[in-house]
Amino acid sequence: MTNNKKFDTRLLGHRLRSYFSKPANIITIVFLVILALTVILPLCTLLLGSFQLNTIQEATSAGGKKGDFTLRHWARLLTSTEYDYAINSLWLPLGKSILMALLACFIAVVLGGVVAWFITRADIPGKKFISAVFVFPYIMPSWSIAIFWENFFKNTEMTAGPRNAGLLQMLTGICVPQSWIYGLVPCAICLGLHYAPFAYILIGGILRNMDANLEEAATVLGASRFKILCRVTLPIVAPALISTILLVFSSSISSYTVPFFLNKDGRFIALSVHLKNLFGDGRTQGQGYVMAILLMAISIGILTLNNWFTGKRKSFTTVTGKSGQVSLVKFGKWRIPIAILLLIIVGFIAIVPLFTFAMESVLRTNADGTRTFTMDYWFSKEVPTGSTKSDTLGILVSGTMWKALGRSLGLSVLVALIAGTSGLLIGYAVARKRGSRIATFVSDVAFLPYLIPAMSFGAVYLSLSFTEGFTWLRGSFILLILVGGVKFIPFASRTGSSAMLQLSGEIEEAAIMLNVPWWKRMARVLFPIQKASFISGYLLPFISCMRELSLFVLLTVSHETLLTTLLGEYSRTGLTESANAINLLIIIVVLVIQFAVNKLTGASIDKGVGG
Amino acid sequence: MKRLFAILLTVALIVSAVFVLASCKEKSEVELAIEAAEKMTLAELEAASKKEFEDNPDLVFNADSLTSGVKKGIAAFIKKYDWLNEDNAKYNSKKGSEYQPVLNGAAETDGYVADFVMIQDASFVYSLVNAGFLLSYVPSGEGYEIAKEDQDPLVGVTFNKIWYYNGENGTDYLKNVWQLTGKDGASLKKIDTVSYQSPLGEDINMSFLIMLTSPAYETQLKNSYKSYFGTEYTKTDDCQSIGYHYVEQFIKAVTTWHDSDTSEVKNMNDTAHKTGVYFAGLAKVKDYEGYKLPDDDPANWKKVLMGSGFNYQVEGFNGFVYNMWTLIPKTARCPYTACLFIRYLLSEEGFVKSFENVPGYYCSNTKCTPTDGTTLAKWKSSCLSEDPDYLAQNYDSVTAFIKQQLTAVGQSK
Amino acid sequence: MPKIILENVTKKFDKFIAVDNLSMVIDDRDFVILLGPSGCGKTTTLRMIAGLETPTEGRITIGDQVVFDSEKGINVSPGKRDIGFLFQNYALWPHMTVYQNIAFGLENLKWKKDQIRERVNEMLALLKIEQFEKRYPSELSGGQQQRVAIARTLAPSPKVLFMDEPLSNLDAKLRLEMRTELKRLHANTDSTFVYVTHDQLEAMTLATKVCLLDTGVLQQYDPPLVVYNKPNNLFVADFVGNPTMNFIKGKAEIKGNTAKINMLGATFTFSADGDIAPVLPAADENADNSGGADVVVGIRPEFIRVEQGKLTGKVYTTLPSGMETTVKLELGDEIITSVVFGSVDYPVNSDVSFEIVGNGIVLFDAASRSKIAMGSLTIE
Repeated sequence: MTNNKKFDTRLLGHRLRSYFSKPANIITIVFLVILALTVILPLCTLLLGSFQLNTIQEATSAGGKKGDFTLRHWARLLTSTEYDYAINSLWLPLGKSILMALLACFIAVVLGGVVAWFITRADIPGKKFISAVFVFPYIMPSWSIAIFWENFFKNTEMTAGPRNAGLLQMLTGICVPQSWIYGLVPCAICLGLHYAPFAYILIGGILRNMDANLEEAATVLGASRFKILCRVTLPIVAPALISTILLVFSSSISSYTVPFFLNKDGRFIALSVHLKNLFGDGRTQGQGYVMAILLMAISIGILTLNNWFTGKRKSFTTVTGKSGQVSLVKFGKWRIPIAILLLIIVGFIAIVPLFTFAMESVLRTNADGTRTFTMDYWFSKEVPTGSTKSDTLGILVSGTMWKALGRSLGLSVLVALIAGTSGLLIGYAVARKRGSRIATFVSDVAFLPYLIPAMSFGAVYLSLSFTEGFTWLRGSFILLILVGGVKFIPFASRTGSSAMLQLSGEIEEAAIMLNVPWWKRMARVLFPIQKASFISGYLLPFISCMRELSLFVLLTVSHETLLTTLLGEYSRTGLTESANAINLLIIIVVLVIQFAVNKLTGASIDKGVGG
Repeated sequence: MKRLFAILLTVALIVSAVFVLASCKEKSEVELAIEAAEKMTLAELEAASKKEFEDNPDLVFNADSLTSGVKKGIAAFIKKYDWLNEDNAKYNSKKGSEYQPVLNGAAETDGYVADFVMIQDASFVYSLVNAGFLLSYVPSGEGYEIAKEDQDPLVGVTFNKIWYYNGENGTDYLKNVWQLTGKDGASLKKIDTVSYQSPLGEDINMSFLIMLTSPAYETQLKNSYKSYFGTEYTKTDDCQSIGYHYVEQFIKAVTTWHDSDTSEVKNMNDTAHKTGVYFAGLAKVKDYEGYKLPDDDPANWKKVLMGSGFNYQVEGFNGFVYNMWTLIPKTARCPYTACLFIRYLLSEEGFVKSFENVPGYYCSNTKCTPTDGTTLAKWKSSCLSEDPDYLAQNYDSVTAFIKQQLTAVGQSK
Repeated sequence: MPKIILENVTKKFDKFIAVDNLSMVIDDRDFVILLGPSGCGKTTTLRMIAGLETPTEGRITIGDQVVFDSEKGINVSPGKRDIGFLFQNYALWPHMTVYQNIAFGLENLKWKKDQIRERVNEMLALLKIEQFEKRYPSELSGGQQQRVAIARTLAPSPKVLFMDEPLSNLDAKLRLEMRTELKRLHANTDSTFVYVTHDQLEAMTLATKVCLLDTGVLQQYDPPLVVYNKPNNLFVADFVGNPTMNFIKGKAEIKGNTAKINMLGATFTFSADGDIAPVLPAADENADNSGGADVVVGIRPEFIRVEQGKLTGKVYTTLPSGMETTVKLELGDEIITSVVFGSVDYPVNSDVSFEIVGNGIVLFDAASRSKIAMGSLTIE
């Protein structure tokens, strides 16, 4: 008996030792623990928060004490009929948000898909330029498109918002109706434009990799161009299309900044904006948790659907054959007009925004409504009076701005390093342990932060920083790095997995045969081969972090901490000219870094978008 | 009998001793510091503050607030005391909706959040005060006179949001609040647009609408109703009171749900928007570009105020008076410095440095008299004001009602 | 009826010339194989005839119809050329069933539903894939997919059938099977087949005519056995045949239709079947011209007979494959390959005698690499 037991433990020991002798296993276990602490625990907090009295105000109002179990948050938000509360607070905004997200999907997929088709299948000139510039809106923060939208269309006829002439009115005198500037449709358009490059990258990738023979086979059999598009091309890119639609949908529905910014006339409240209002109020925090869970449930549902679709039809993406020899559709005399049209569209969504930011930052609105040129918002050392919070009016001479820029860059670099490296390691584990349940689980959990609305993610980490044992995190830079690192892992782990899966195991095995240690295999063999993809896995978290606001707003002690919080402060205090200047600065910094990295390493965000 | 008495006495002693001990334990260090500070002279308080920074050179005094007045106050405060500088005394701008979860979090766990907060939203502030997390230091002595009702919790500044409009329209442009109801034109005389910041984005505007439904203001609403329509108010709709009726009708009458009082007030001078009535803080007059004048001469403010039309005699009410409280969290790290700062902020010098003599900022220290000729007393008597208990008890129900009304007019900011 | 004529067809990709001034005629019912190493322009040629690629210059005629003319600006779309195309990777549409795949071309011809049904059934039967009708391509094996692809291509009864390495994705056994079937198919369908491959064995076994290309230039266009026996130049001789031809460098003194050749340390007399074409002077003027012109003598392994004759080589290696054995002999600097019927084995480095027999010996000009004569060799 005892002998047996000894034997068993020894066997177990052997098994464990052999299990942990493989780096992929160690990584899996380590990330399982890390992700359980940084992702699953916060999720549980969210769930718990929806079932308990969270704040002093909730406790007072419910007549209980903090921490008591309650169903009132769920009941009130989902079913309360008092003055139609549930309808007005949840169901109506939910319906409208879904409508907005659907519209955004439609715009993104149609625009991105059409551009992708023209770039990969038509003989138009200027493709390289169009392709390079078309991804700008995705690199730019999504709200910058919303700001651009307002900058461009605002006019003196509006009854809300800034009410001065925007670019369109200045150039043509046309005043568009206010419903074209604020509300559901403009929100959907801006989100659609923001995600169009994303659709372009996904669909273009499939079109580029799609075996051209599939289309040629139909050509030879006498099918018309249109018929080929409908019967062959579209069905084959359908999984990418569906995947794009679902991802754009779930991103749009939880997008906060665009609907927040384009609601100046108050006609349309998105669910995400509503979520923030609920969270921001101690009396309704529990309902905020409920809504965050609902938003997540929608996203998870959609992604499960996505996996089901792509999983079922994996065989669709065939990357074989002589795909290089795509015969381009000849447009003859139409090729120049089409190219010009594409250039106009791309210019409008990618270049005009930068122009309007620059313009808004150099035009002062005078008391009588006229506007004059000034460089004050960039260079003036004057310290403004009134409610402005900056030390100097000109942002480029403001020490506060430079410090914030430095911290934002530092934070983004560190977050990118953490998220990128984690993604790479998770990717490695997934690729080496293909099909293993535990590795798949780790990879799935690593994707979850993508689905948690940024605001609620911030709120969970805020409460962590008040928990015994973690109070040293409170207000610290480490907390920002931690929350950013975890929130942006999904991008990196997707990129890492797809890059690792493309590498055959033999490549690493060849190195194992030569007795090369694991870290050296990673650094000298695996990383260099997929360098561009891996660096993209670092680039995406970096870009996302640079432009993130809602995630950090609850966690920063000062408004001066980050460039985005400073930007928020400028907007809030009515210094829109300086806000535009900062916005332009953020975009330029992001673009410059993206291009520098691209030139140096060949990495680009379009390589990184795996989903 | 004697024995029994002795036992009783002993028990009583023990009980009281326990109570005393318990209450001693309950008093936090910060509470004790505040109690001590209230008894100190200015010089002693200054010494105590200095000692805090000498004992712990890494200490940072954090002042969190929505209002930039605190920023200016801190700037002046630093200049006054040589142990303070830009690195160890900081102002952090905090938007209400983004700050409530932070304060709540700190309150629930007794965590550090700041050394000084200046915040609004009565029911929220009272809930934290009642929970013992936010504490009041009441400065006293020469140069200080703070009304009893403003002491616990300590009011720092009182603000108002009033109805105002372009002064060129004359003083009788808005005479009765019922002018602002009924979009059908029957009662909205001469007024083309009504601008109101959405209550969903601005907690004070929400508090104002909630207070309108309070029984406390029923009489004055009824009186003004009668004066305006010539008949007694009779319940004709589903609304449970005249207050609810007013809110419903007012929401229907609003033509512009503006985004920010600051930028909205600027529009008052636009020829295109000259005929509107705006509900905004009187203090926003400083952003009113059309009347921007050198603000060092108080006489100029009078001109500004006359230029922008408003009057104290709107029948019904002139607007809404609300407080911003200056408080010290229980977990403050430098309570003496916080006390010293509050003392400074509410002094004549500090108040002028912080709020620059702009009308619409009223110090709770009545020794700081506004120089523009408007007085808080007048506003208090003619405006609605916050009742934290009413707000806390009716918040859920009335906000649901207001949301319903807003949804009915397609407003959902 | 459909005769395919290519006239001076050139295709350039930017500066790279894929096909250079190619002219050829493909007769009706031919089974023409475009053969060559990868990158030689064979697939491009095929795609140009099919209309999937647009030539830079030249003229292509299918039957009576000019389908492409760069001067007249004619370019008929592939769908209207009455052709079928079989792709290397089959290019089956993954979202359509076998039935739908096969029916697609017929739908485009506006056939009636029952006609389509009938024709598809016919094709399914012809290729013995009836039972897979309702399956999706991903549910089929490679060979089955191949059959579906053929059925799809044949369904509209194209007059010309183009095939781009259709067997290269199959395993060796299946490839052999399909070869047989393709040849039978050609016999049964009355169509012209144009077929691309880099596998010379496939070309030898299937074609009625082989078109050998190298770097975009036509090398030889003849029936397979002509290509095998009478290669135009060293490239063709080297590319066709397995094991490859022996190329032995030598010096030749040419007189009329005989030549004295010094090679393998001996002197041979070459008697040509006809005149020996003139030899180009060596490109290098300093080259050693003493002892005659530089030539290469091409000898198929089957013309080397071992264990007989005056020549002796050292066994370099022996490669038995059952039915035959390849013996490699070392002699001086040269390695000479011989094929022996049956299974033999020699110890390595043992001496073995051999001789050169037959009249299929090819004489090449070493400088121009062209064939200058065919004939037989006798040792002196």
